[in-house]
Amino acid sequence: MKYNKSSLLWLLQRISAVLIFSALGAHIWKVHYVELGQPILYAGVALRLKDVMTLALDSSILFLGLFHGLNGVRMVALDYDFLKKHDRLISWLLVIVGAAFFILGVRGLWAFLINIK
Amino acid sequence: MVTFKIARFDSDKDKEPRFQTYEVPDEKEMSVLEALFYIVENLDGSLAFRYSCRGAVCGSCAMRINGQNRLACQTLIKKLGSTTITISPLPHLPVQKDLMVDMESFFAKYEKIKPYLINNDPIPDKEFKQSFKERAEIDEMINCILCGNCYSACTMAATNSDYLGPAALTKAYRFYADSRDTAKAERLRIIDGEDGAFRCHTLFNCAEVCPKNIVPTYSIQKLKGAACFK
Ligand code: SF4
Ligand code: FES
Repeated sequence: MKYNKSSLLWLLQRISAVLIFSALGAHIWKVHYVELGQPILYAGVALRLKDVMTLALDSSILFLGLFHGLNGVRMVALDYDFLKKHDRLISWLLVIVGAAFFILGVRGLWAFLINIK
Repeated sequence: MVTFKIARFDSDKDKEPRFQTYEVPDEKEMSVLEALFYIVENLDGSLAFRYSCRGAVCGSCAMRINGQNRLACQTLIKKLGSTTITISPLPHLPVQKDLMVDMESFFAKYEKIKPYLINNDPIPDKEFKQSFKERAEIDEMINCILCGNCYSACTMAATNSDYLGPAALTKAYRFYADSRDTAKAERLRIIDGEDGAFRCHTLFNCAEVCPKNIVPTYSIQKLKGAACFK
């Protein structure tokens, strides 16, 4: 299979939507239902966020969400003549915004496990 | 009497379009096109509009009638259920005069998709055969009369001037899916890319206005799938 950028991004947009849906399901289950009935305490949340699997799951939701949202923004931008002229610039800006938010988010999440200054 | 409010505009003289009102006798089974003939013959010979077949075959009489893109010859006044009928040219296309629009961009995109059968196989003794099932897949798309209603109603074609649009993509699928056509890879190359099938956001505006009940979105989705999994 040989992909053009547009067909690849279109396909990844669909795949990421399905993955977000399933990953969010797993996240909601883990956060809200596994310990149903237990008192909700900060200590419990902090403990959960020390678990590598939970952190990996939440980080992947963050990655997929950012990709899906920002790729959507690019697709909308390409709908307009006056924006599509700047496709390259817009794409790079979105990559930078995505990377910045991902790093920020991951820092916040993993801070419970690794001591990040 | 039926009141017709018709957009008048002459690109050589006018800056803005204006609406002119005409009263037309309410004849039984009269179509909008017949009412336009009445106006030209009896009230105002300067009104410009296109038509040819008068039978929903040529696609020339597409215009916006009471807020929806329709064929004037196919639209009966009584079916509109109103005694005031507003007519304007197809939106999102440059107006040449009154109800006539410039279809240049529409046909340029149609040409881009190579709207003809390509078959480089040796010519058979009799004919290129096609089963009923193979033909059924393209039946709907073959009915397209290139009226431009879908193209004019498409939001994406309105904001992105390079987007191929629903009509050209419907025809592209018509040839791609034709069992006798051998240029599948070339056709997919043409419709791939940011201004091809992937620009469609499945709004279905095109399907709503097609006088032949074609659903261009179906063809476009099929092309997207084919381009992704080629
Ligand atoms: S698909 Fe329908 S609306 Fe579009 S050009 Fe063909 S006949 Fe007209
Ligand atoms: S006059 Fe030919 S389609 Fe209406």
